Amino acid sequence: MAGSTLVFEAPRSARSAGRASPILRLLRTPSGAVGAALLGILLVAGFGASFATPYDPAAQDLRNTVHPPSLVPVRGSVHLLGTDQLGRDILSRLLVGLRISLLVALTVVPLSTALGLAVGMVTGYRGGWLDVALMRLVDAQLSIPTLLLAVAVVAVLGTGLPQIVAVLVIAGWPGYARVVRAEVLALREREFAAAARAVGASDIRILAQHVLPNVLPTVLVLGTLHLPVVIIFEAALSFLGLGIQPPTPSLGQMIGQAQDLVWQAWWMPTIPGVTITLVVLAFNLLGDRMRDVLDPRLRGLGPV
Amino acid sequence: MSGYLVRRLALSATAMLGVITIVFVLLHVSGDPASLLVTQDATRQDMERIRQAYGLDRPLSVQYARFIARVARGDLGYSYRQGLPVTELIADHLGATFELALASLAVAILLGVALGMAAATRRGSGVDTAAMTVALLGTSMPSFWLGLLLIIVFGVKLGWLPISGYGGWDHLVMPAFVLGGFYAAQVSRLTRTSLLEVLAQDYIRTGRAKGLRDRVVLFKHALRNAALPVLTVLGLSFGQMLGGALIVESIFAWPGMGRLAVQAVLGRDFPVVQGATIVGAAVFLAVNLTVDLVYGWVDPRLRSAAQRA
Amino acid sequence: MRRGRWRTIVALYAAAAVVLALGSGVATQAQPPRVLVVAQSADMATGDPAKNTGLATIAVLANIYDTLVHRDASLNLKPGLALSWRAVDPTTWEFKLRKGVRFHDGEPFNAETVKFSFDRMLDPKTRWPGAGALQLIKAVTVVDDGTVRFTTSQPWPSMPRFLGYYGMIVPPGYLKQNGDDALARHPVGTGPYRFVRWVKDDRVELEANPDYWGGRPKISRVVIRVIPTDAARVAELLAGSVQLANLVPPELFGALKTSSKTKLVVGKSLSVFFVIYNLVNIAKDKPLADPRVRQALNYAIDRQAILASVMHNVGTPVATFCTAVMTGCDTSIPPFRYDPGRARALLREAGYADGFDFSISGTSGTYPGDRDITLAVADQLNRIGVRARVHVTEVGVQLRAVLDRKLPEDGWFTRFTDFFGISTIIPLRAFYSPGEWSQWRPGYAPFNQLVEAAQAAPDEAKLREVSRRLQLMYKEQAPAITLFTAPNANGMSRDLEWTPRPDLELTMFDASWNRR
Repeated sequence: MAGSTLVFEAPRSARSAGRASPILRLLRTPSGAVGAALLGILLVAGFGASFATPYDPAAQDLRNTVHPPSLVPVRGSVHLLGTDQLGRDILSRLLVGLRISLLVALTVVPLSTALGLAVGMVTGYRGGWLDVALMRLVDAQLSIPTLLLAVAVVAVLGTGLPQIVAVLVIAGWPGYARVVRAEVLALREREFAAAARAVGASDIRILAQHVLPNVLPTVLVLGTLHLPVVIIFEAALSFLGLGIQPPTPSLGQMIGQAQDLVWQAWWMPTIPGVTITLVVLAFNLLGDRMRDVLDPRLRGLGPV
Repeated sequence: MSGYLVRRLALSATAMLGVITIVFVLLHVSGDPASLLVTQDATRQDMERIRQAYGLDRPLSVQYARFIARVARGDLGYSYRQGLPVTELIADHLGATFELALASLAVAILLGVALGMAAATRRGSGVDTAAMTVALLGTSMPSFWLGLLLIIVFGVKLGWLPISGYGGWDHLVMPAFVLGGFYAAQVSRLTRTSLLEVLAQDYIRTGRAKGLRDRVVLFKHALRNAALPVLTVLGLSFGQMLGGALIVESIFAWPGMGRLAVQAVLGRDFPVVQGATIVGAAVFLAVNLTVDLVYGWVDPRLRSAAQRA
Repeated sequence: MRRGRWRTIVALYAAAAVVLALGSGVATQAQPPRVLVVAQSADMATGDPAKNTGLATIAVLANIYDTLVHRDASLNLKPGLALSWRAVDPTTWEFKLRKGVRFHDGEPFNAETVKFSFDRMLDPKTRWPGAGALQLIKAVTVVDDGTVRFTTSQPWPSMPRFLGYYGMIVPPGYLKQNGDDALARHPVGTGPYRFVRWVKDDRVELEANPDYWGGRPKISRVVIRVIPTDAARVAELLAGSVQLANLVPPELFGALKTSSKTKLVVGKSLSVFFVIYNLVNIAKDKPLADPRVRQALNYAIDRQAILASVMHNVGTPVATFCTAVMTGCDTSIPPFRYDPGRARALLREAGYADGFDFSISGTSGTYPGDRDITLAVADQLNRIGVRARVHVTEVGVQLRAVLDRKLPEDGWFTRFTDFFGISTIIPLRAFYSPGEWSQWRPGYAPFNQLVEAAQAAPDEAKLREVSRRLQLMYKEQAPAITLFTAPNANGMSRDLEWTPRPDLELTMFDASWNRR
């Protein structure tokens, strides 16, 4: 057929002899650059602009509710992204909500990583009954579909910012633990470990000096996969009413609350939805390119 | 092979036991579960009744043992709110979830594989970039937002599809698209990568050199070999769809297990939350086990590798 | 080449099939439907009225079963399964029953079935959640086939009112033959609609009972569907697949009003929103211990502004604790007016010119508008110097804390409803010190005494008099910030005629299509 373009070349290998630092290589790709730029803007908005919002996110004006985005002042104030059902400025709430979402993600991922790393390293290195017990726990927890698990834990812990962080860490650490353990198992048998043991180095020192640095790149990759997932999970829980509670704004919560107003106020669920998509997109783009750079074997591994 | 099967079954069984324990611990960590059932109509007498009926006044170890025994018998308790057996509630809802999951799987396969194939075979072209951008957006968009948008456009403004509820194929379209779309995006990226790797292999070039037509090469050889990882992911996704379609079912009022679980959490109906989690995990494990076995059977290299793990 | 042509043909067929399918869907929606599809937010829990008293259950079962006394849309008492009733003596009520009524399975209705139903309901083994409301009934005796007597342990002049809401009559023969579970799955009653089918968590299908004693219902088939998400419920109404959606939250009113196919119909309300003060063993030096402070916060609230914005103009400010449709409510007593100046003056008088901290326990999604109302109230309190903060909590956690009298906050936002339609019921439940929900302990003795007097009032005139005194005392003592009525808002197709009931039952007997 004319126009058939089956390609038979070797896939582009990122194992090219790049002397340039990983970060630069990452930024040279178009998607990496876009992702970085997007993330940059979002970070500035979330951690900078959100402290200097045009209006107090909690300031109500019951005579100016559900107003569409406009450049024209109404009752003396300009609301670029409109007002919500209590007359609060949506732009201000969006910025604070963005900050909260980023905060949750940037708290949950390091905590999950730390916990998963600790458990994975100890069980992988030591083995024994602790290994068996913990790995059974990990298996069991990973058998429960994640959202279902999160929702079940919320049933117990309740809602709110600290609870949501706890829920997401609980849901997240087993993934890390399992992978770290597998890596540690392999590393344990390598020469440098045997040599270090022969010299009499303590387990902790071996773990810290030899095992940890080798495991770190994998963990970083997992982290990049985990970030966007956390953002969507927090938004999903808040959307269902099981996450961050008012008056603290959250992007998912804003969509959930605006669900009913979608008829008269299409912008109310749309704007936070676009924002979440942009955040996740930025993390996905950067994550993809980082995985290419760090370990080409993991290329194409989507968040499963 | 049978050794592998036995080992995997044993693993799944211990995982299930772990799930049951987790679920039990979750319930009792919250203290007195009956106390949270209070509404303005249900009062202290109801709470006492529930506490006694469910043996919540016994020591923890006794409750744990009884819980395991009950679950082993297939008895998941009674819903606090509706008084009906949890197994019955779940059975009533599982069918709908299966339907939705199957339809979503179809969407994931059709859309995902097609997109991935198109991108791989036209690598580097506009089609490739477009397809992968769509896929990227698909994994970045929150499903609840996409669902809302579709409801507004197709349900309300255009009136082409029913907004919610359970019914014929037209009720299934939007929820399946939203749930399946997310996995379709992942599948398309994976298909593309997998296909690209296979297409670069020597035997493909050999086939080409022998004069086989592109199409034959593609479908007979490349796709079949690229299929394996894709099938695995599809299998895992199916398991996730079965247990975790909570958001999609909630938005579209689809009477499946996910919605049952969400309403149970909102209503503090712990036995139902417990039951849904256990069943969700069991289904997920069953699907994973099946995928593993099929995979192991199809690719003997992995069987031995798995046995060593 | 051949392959290409095949592909085109297949594509054309597919396209044609899609177009036909969609087209037929669109076409059938153009005809006026015969079946009335109603949507509510939860499924009925059981078909047996003695097992559950939830709103969603009663809403459906009110079509299948009858009570002895019926109420119209203004809650006036009308004959139901009983033609008339009178008090033989202060502790005995006699009901004359309707003759010739049969259950849907053919069984006859008579005094025996009434006795059976009530004995079953009030039997502790049945665990009927509504038993507390009818606890004054000591015995039910059959006088003859068409007459039944209720003996009460104390004089109970309002009993007929209570029997207008509770006391659905069930078929003894059916139950003895098939057991409780059968009735739970397949309800059989004397009502205007017969049960056809129940798809759990999806719909209940009903068909008209042609032999109904009140006449054949105008609409022959009714389906009551479950659509928990408010937006989805309204969306289906707008699309035409549902013709009545109840309990529409305020955010969706606009959508209903602008559509040419739907209308918003608001019914009378039996529910009131409050922010109730936590006065449990309150120390004398605390701000809320002073009635002037409690009144001041009432003056600080601009109820009209909240109604106009958050509630989209549905609802009326309430002065004390009763709404216009409740018997005994004196509507000439005006609500607290919006007067921030007076609020500040009262605070100064009480010694709190600098304000004080006031935490409110609120819910989100439990009652329509709850979250936003609480936030708006807190905002308005802040403007007069009271530093109000809202803690959104789970309703179960909040209610548990209230019941245990361990509420950590200074006030709790809630809604109280009185399905029986008597003005003094909400004070009995919410403010009367010995009551289980009351946060007013030890409370104010004269108020408690008046509540007791109201329960013992021998007739409606005395009830009105006591109720009026109670309302005036309430405004003085102000144990809560009274807000306004909770909405009873329903979305309907324009061609449906039906009056929403204050008790939120979804009886479709009076519903009809208007010919357009």
